[in-house]
Amino acid sequence: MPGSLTRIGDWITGRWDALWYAPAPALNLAAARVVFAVHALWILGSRDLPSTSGLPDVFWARVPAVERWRYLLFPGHLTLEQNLQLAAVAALFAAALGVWPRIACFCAGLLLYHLAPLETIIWTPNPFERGLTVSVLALLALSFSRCGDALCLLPRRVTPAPSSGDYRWPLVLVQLFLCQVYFISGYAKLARAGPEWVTATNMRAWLLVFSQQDQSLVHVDLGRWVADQPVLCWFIAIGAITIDLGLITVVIWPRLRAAFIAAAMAFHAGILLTMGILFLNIPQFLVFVDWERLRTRAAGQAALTRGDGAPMR
Amino acid sequence: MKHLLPLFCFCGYVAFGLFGAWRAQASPAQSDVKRSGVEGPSKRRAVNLFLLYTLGVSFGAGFLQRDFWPFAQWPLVAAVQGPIAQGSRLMAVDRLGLEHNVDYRAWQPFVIEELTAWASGRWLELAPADRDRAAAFLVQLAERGRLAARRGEEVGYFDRRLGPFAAPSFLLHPKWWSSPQTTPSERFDGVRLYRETWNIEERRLNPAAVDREVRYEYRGRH
Repeated sequence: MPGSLTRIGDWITGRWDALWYAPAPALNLAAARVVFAVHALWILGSRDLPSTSGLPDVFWARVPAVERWRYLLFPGHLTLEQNLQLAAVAALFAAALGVWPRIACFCAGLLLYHLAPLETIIWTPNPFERGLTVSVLALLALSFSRCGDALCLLPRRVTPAPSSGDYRWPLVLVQLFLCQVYFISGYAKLARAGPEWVTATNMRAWLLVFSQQDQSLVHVDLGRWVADQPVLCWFIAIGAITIDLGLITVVIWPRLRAAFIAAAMAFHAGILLTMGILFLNIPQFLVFVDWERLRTRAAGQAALTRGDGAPMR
Repeated sequence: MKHLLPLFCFCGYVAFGLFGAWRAQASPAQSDVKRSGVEGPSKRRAVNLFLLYTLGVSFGAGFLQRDFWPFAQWPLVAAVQGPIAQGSRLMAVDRLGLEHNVDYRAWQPFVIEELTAWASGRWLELAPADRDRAAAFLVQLAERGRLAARRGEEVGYFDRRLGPFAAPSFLLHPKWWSSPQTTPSERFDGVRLYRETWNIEERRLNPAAVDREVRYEYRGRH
């Protein structure tokens, strides 16, 4: 019995190490840093989060003190918040360009933790789905890792290892953060609504609701047409929950990535057209691209073009 | 205390991460590690601790369906939609008493979803004088947007830096005031908040089959 327990323990340890610490190239981790930094810049550049602090105090009147202290958000500090946003932008640029990238990622992660809730704080302290939730966690995780060993503007003092487990665990973690959105969302559907969520009736009802709201930008005819196709509604219901609960497997089994991520993108396109919902994290799926392989392939092709790699006669 | 739990979770995430990073610095040099193929055990332990903590909190927030943001519970369309649907609508009232839909961009710096959610909840909990003060501010925003649209200018300013590449909010909305012709011509002096209720099968056949209840109305200068 102790022997079998030891074997199980060894097996778990082996699988754990293979998942988190298998040697990986520095480039893929550095590319994840660039992806999250640029994405966060995109969201910040498309909002005016500091202005929430400058709103008339009546908009803050019902915000509980505990929620203000949780994020250190207080009304009447417009200039301070504008300066903090400037600092966040500077940190994100530095992270993207690889100028003191770890410090930059750390500062950006903390500043976004403070700034992101400004979008919703007047009614909820939970700004999920507004585009910065995964970025806060990912930028901090990257700052704890050796994310600055490639794609850096400033020269490195230490020559990075060609591949290492140090480059693997943070990349897997940020990939997991992204896939958790789907998995937890799928779980939430089943936990809150039960198996009844996965029915054609429910899908039809949701499609009709979204197509009937003139305040949403949807393809009304398409939404109504799909709602009137029971088989299609069943397909969407089952497909949506399958993608939600199944996408997380691509972190463990890379071979599933192409199929699962393509299916997820197709579903997002359908949701965009029929419900007017845009998942702002879509560009972050670039963290699943094997940039090192692409670079190797491009370098090989360039060598072939130059004739460097031609066989000797 | 439970209200501070999300903050503690986040602080724990940062603390364990910093600890892992610190142990990594204190571990044997990477070149030695690569030569031996074994990484420093204390470094690996610290990273494992960070990973286990992060997995616990992030999945914990999901499985408990609790807000530990940025460890979110992601309840996206997580409900069974029954035959009756409800929504809120914030409309502007012009000086002649006619009401108009407001282009979503006019509410900026608010994102319209957040404003509507606030209006349907916390706005109504305010004292009447405070409610009116907030309403007067919203009338200013709507009027500013209306004037810009009437001049043929862009409504709102979220796209001032990135132009057409600016990120929209997660819910897309039509640009009602895309030209001076589609923009109300009279000055706004009030707002109305409606709750709309409808039967989705009835409205499928008749788009006008909506019950609208005024939940709050404000009129400024008459």
